[in-house]
Amino acid sequence: MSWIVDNSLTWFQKFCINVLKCGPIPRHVAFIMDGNRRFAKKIHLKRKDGHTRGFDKLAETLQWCLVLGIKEVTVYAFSIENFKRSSDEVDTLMDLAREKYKRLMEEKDKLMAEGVCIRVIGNLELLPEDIRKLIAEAIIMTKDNNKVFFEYCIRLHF
Amino acid sequence: MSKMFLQTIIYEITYTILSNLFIFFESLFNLWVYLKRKFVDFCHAYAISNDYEYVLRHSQKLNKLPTHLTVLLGTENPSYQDLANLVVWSCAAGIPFISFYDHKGILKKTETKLQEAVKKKKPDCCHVIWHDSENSYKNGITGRKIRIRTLSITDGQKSVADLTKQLCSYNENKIDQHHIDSLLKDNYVFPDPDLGFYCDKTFSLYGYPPWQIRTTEFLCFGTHHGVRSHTFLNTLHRYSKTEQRLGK
Repeated sequence: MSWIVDNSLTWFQKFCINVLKCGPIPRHVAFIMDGNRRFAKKIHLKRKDGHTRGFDKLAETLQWCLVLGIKEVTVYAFSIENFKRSSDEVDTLMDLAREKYKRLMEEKDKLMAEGVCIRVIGNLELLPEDIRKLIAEAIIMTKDNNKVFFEYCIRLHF
Repeated sequence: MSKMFLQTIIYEITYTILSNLFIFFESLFNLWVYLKRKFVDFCHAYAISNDYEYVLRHSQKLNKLPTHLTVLLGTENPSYQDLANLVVWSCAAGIPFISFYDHKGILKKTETKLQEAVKKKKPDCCHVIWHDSENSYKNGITGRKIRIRTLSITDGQKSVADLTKQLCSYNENKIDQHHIDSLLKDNYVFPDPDLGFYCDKTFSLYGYPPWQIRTTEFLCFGTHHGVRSHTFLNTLHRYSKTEQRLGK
């Protein structure tokens, strides 16, 4: 599933969006991603699939924000506490991150066209080196974009 | 061109109609909530003769109490009698720290009025220790004690900005989480709040110190003007049922 999902809204949804845009729209929205494992358990999937589905829903949500005209979106994803989970699960999360960032690079035309500026905030030292390289690529590529800002936060521990 | 113009008109009209309908129904709902609250307060006024005893008795049944309760006044002007009630009830419940945040700064400037109101309301068994007073470090007090302080916007986001300027001027090489934590704690003094009460219908922090509220549970308890002890207890009860997973 890609980052900038092609417009898959129904005509009624598009109508509602256009009506909402007549009123105040928030300039900056933050999302705290939580409950991937609980969701997987609820619909009887593996934990790995819970994380994948969480990520796909995030991509869909970002599309809605773009269409609604929200200028800045911040997402809190990883918590350092996550690193205390089983190493299997952490490896799954890292693989997922690698896959998603690689897809991001493949869609760079769409990102540049939409003017998305990607920023990553937090303690990146705990991430593996190849992922840090991918993140750096994404940040450098989009640093001059200024239409929409997308901040991905690696959450500090409590 | 005229098709787009027509579409825009339709969107605008739909928005105006829906918006007005929403405001109308929201006002009806607010009126209902107000009347319900007045009715419940009226019933409780007969049932509870002594608020302090009532809170003392019922709070013992709660399985989780906050160490530090912080109250966000939001857009409301401070009502000293009601805030004093909150102090006394918190003391009865055994909450060791309470703070009031008024971003407008009115409460901080008129803190003596609050001190007088608390002095009049509190029972003798309750010891109130004010922040920044000569009593701050009194030891050997038996009985229930509660520490209290007021906060305003200068203690909030501004304190983090000031700290950043301070660190730059000192040419600090080692800036890490623990360092900042300890420097900010020197200013805030109290432990991080576990529980926050907010009064407005919409939740907003109004520049409350952001660093300390990482794991604070915020609950709405309605206007603090004329707040009753059962509302206070109900909100504490809601807090005792919450579960914090902290990233597990």
